[in-house]
Amino acid sequence: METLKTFFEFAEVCERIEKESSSLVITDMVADFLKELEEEELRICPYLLMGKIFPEWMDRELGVGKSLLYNALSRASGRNETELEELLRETGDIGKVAEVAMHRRTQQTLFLGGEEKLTIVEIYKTLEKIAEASGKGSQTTKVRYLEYLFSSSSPKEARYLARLVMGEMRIKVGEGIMRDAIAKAFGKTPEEVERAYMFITDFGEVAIATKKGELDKIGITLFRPVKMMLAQISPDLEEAMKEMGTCAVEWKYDGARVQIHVGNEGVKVFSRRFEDLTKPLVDVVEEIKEVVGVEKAILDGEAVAYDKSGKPKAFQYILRRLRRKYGIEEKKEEIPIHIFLFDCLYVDGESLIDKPLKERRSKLERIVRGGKRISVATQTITGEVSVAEKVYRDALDAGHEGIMLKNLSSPYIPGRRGKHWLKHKPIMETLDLVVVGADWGKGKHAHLLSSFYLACIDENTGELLEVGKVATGPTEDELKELTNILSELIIEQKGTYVKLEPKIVFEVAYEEIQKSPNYPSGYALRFPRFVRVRDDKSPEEADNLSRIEELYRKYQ
Amino acid sequence: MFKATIDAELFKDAVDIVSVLVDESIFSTDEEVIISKAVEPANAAMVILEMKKNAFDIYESDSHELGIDLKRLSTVLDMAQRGDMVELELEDHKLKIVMGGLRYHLSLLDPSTIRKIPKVPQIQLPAKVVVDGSTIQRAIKAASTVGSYVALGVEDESFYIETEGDTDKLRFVLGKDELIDLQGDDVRSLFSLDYLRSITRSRAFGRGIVTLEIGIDYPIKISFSFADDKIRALYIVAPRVEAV
Repeated sequence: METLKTFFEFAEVCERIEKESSSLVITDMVADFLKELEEEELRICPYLLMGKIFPEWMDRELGVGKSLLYNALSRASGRNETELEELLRETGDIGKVAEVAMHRRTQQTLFLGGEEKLTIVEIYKTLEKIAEASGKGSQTTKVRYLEYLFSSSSPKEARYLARLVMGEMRIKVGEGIMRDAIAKAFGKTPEEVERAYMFITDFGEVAIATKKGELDKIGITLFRPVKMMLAQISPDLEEAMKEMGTCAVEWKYDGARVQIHVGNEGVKVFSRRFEDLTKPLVDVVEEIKEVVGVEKAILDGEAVAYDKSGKPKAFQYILRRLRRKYGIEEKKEEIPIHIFLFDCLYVDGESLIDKPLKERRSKLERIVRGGKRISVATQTITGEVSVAEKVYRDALDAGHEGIMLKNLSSPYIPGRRGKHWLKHKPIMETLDLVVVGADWGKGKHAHLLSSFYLACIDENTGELLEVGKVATGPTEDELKELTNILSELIIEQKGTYVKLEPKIVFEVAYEEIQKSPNYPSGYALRFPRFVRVRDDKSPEEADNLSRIEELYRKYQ
Repeated sequence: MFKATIDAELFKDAVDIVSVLVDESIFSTDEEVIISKAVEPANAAMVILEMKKNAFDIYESDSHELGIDLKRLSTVLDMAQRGDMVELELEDHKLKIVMGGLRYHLSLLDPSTIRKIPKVPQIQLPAKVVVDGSTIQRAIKAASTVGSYVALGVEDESFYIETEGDTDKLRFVLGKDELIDLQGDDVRSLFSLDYLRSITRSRAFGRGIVTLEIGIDYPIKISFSFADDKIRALYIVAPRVEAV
């Protein structure tokens, strides 16, 4: 009989990783751990190690906030919730809080020492039940399950359990390390693992396939969102055109990127973050069935919201619409939405992503009839800067962001921000950075958080590295709103400084990027200016260190 | 095969004994008895319910493990009128419940998905108090308004319940002559009121005579029976230790 690993063993590995700073050593540790796992463990452990419970594509949440966690922890340990809150303020680490609470537990159990340790799989199954609990009475159910998990945990297990539940694992295992570790554990190259991951975006499934030697069987799959292909910024149009030669020029729409899956089972629409947007876009979805002339397809496009005068509405509006889970009917007429399709990844059982853009585009044109709310994006093929410039001006006049230049012979490379696609926009490329701290203001702003510490992600370690502080940009009203949002996320306070849970992403403009020894990232932003909150982006999607490095080189 | 008929009120009281502590439980049946053992999520309190064959008007059964969603079962039983008899029968992996013209097929839970109780702790406790359940019910209710945990103990031939909140204090004492029985040494253990409140809330608790077995910083056993001893309940609750 196979022996499954206990959560205690998992906690010990996490503890060893937490103490290590070298990415290479961490990769080896993760690889060694993965090698020992049974299939059902291999499905879940990559995510647990990355501090997540479910892969993104599942669009599934635990639904446990701090108050539920405190409640469960308090019941399991016998310590009161005020004490736990104080501990969090002192340590800033929910894991430490759980560890101390269980160490100092006053509530005894009936079976101390007699019960077997919980396995990783048992913990995961209980977490699944917590995620499933919904509706009336579900809060109590969630607390009961958590209570069971904590009361069966040693202090060390409790540390990592609490961090997992709150999504704050604090061990430096990001996507890069996981990819390399899976490759290393089962004798494949990181590139092979990466490619498979971009198709199914599930490190668990990828790890199993790698172990079984079935990596090459992984391909694009209907109703499994694929990472979207991204574009590099190109500040100089002339230079970009010189680099590209004859290429496809398209408007860069000011909307939200969508990936549409059409199959016999129906239609599904996913956002960049793999949120299921099918329901919020229900009226457009109905039309998709009519305008797509094949049974199965995966299409890439942009959803744009218009106001009454026919101008695209700011991004915020479309997001409001997309996020609405209720009241869809009432909102439908208020924000008309149009989807512009520009790529096609899969048609009737055949993957097109290795085919050149030219071929994908002509396939797209053949299978999609224009509809009221859906059309194929206009494309101009040219090698002339003047032609591209005209398209650019038209796009701006129509209220959109700029243009995309696309290499006609390039494949569709999921998740990659490569040189095959370039975008050209009027302003200096902004950065999307995670807010990790803030200062309370002075004088009449004393009750407002007024300057904000920003960080980028080190894509190898998943660590957040500070790149600067922004204090200009927000209006008085915006400051109030930011204070409202951010004060919920305060972990600890020292003087006027508050440390924040890294949940919110700011779009920030700046004059230039400089090398700086003052910030852990090694870079600093000169004259940063707040543009807006990117509430469509998760912290994981914020700009990473190599992007800052790239921009630094570019604007030198 | 499992087929049984019992007075609806009696059955409700029995089910209630388990459902005050957990939401789902396994009812193990055999030729002689139905037993349900369950532990609440934090492993701090457990219950054992025992219903003998002769508590039923009709009882025929082989060995079965019936996974019961107690909330659903209670909802069904709440529809019973006083004096109704309830007929239970295992039919196509469902529990058929018939009472007063109502027919209900209750889906059974897969017993493997319900937490099994680890070994029941075998403990000997030095003091024993026998008292009216309603007295304990009242005392626990009063204590709940003051604090979140409570000490139960024996001292100077008296049984006491005491609690201390942030502001107030409460001590409830019953001398030997106010008790039905008191035996053993001086003892004291501390318990979370959460569990005691749930247990004393069960319908049958307040109607009968309850035996408390207490130790020094040790689990407590709370037991009672009804229907002429044909239905028995035992709770064991783990203590709290004083905060450090």
